[in-house]
Amino acid sequence: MRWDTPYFAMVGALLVAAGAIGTLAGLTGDTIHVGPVAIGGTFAIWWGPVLVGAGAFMLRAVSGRLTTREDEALVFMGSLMLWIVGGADVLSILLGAIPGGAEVWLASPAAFLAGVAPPYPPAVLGAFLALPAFRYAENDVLTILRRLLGRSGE
Amino acid sequence: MNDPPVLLMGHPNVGKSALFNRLAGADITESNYPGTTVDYTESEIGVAGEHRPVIDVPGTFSLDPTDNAESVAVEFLESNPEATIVGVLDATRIERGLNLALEILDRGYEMVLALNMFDEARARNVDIDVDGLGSILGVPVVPTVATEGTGVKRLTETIPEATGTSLTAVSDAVGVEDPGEDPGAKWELVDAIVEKTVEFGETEPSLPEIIGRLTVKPWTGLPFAAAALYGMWAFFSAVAGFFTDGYFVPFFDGHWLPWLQSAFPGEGGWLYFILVGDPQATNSFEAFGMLTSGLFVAVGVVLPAIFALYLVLAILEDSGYMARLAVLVDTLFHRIGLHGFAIVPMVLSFGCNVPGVAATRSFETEKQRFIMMTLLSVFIPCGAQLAVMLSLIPQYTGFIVLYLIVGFFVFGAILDRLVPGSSPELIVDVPPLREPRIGNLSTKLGLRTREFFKSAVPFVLLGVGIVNVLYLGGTIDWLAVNLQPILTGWFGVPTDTIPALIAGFLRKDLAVAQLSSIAMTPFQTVMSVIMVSIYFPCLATFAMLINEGRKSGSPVRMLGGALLTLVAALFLWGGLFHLGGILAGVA
Repeated sequence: MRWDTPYFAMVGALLVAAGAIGTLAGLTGDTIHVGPVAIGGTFAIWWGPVLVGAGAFMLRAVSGRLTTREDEALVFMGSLMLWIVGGADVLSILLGAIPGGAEVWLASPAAFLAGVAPPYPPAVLGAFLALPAFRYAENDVLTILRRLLGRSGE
Repeated sequence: MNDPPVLLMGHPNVGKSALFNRLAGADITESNYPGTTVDYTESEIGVAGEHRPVIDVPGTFSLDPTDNAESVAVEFLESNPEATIVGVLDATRIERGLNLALEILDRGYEMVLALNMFDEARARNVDIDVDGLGSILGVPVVPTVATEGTGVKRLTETIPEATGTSLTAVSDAVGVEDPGEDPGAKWELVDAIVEKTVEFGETEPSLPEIIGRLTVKPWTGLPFAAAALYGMWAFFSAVAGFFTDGYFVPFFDGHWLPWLQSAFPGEGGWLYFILVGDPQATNSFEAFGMLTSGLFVAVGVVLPAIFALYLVLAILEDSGYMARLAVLVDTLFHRIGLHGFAIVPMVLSFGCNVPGVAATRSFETEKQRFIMMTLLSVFIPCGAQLAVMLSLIPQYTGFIVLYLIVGFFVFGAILDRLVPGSSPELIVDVPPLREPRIGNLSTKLGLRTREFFKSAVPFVLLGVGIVNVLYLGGTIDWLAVNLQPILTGWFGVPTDTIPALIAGFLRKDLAVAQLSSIAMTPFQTVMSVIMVSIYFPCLATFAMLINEGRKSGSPVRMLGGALLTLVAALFLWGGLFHLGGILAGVA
């Protein structure tokens, strides 16, 4: 068995669980803390189903043991969904920590670090866990990078 | 400019606008979906030491137009019999565009063929004998990659060598019979040309191609669409929140407002009231003067949000995902007499209703255009309004947008049954997924943000000014007394919302901002925001509706129908929400 099959099975199961709990927490207005992760908040009802979908894609792909390019694409697509949600969360945390108020404008290093400290939404950690999916798109990423770096007119 | 123009013609989404930008050094909008160009754009090009007009014509599949954009293309061709045509073909599938090129040549025009996206053709193992194609067609053929500028210089140099040819000569060159006027025989001629000049090699589907296919299948496409839309929303909120809450709110509330309140002369006078507003206000939403709330809403709240939203929209357009979304929602839109590409004006309208209404020109029938324009102007909140909603009531914004979108489809289904006319199917190509070009993204952002500054900022300031003048003249109080039965009885909102409703004629964002200073229950806040959204399009959209109605030859019918729908939507959809609130015990 390839190493990535059980790995993405685990990530997929975690995502489905986090997404389902997030959706329920969004409906009830609660927040559940699990280590550095906080599941809940105003927008949990919206991102929860997305995480369930991303996890389901990974579970569907590993049920075929990741033997085809289609399976790999499905894992990559689930990861992409996770990177979208997690990326937006990271951006929100970073941008929220930078301003320091009317008189200061930029937060002090201590205030910035406090602003980016845990707890994090589950998609942030999930986005890191999904990074190995990049190996399925290695050639495409390299092609895009080559095009971006080597682009020129006549 | 009396020199004959150079017309860029071809199917939709073959890169004509990108080529136009390269040829003319212009900055017009390019997108990775069909129908970006619904009107023509003109510039100049230096050809053999002379300046000649060059025109980016809307894409057309043939010279028998089926929609407004195609009619513009054909009219342009027919009104310029001396024009030189640059026929733009998608090199990955030249058989599609060759038929149009042959039609144009058959009408006696001189032509140069540009085989655009030549790099993609190579990547897909499509091997085109460029010289052979030129010799069969009897016209110069130049491979180009418009997005990178490759081949553009050679194309410019080749324009003076443009020639005409006859279908008889082309038929002879490939050894088939002259097709004459028989459309079927013309396609056989195209097949014969392709067989002689193009070789298609075997390729494994790439990951983007497989993902591209997965994005249009409902079981995989819909969850991905939810992620994409959530990402768009979250990015919009994060960036807008950073600038507005992080910097503009502290600046306007902590510095600008107190300074203006103390430094502006004549406190208590009418000019002070109009320009500065309430001298005791502690935040810029509540002050409601032209230079306080007006500037704050336009620059501090809406501008950062619009910038973020336009960036995300441009990425959706240029990546080719917008076209996939169109395929995914095709069935849903068929239920309201439209087709999947209705998603393009709909998504554009979330930025601003004006380009959304303009994009309806790619619809085939007046019925479809009427339905779409009406629904857009009534139910789709623009980016500016969304920004203010997110700033004031983030916890309710998602639900309000959902309620409006449901209204969009409910009223769409009703209009589809009531409005006479046909709703033909549209068959279009789905473009490949591509990485967006930073240059094009920045061009789009620049153009759209400039447009926002020109159209929105003066209207916001004017809106504040007019409402304040109406306050001073007593009109607001008079309206509050006379409209009380409707506002409190039917909609369940206080009469204090009247100034916001008046401001909403000019700008919806301003109206929502004004609602924030009224003491209301959460239900009343949501109800009044829904009312502001659906009760009347903003002035710019209204002007656009008149303009589009005039173009269709029936402005009164178009506007009358839209206004009737609007009144019905306001009272039925707004009243239904109030009823829901009463039943739930929150109204």
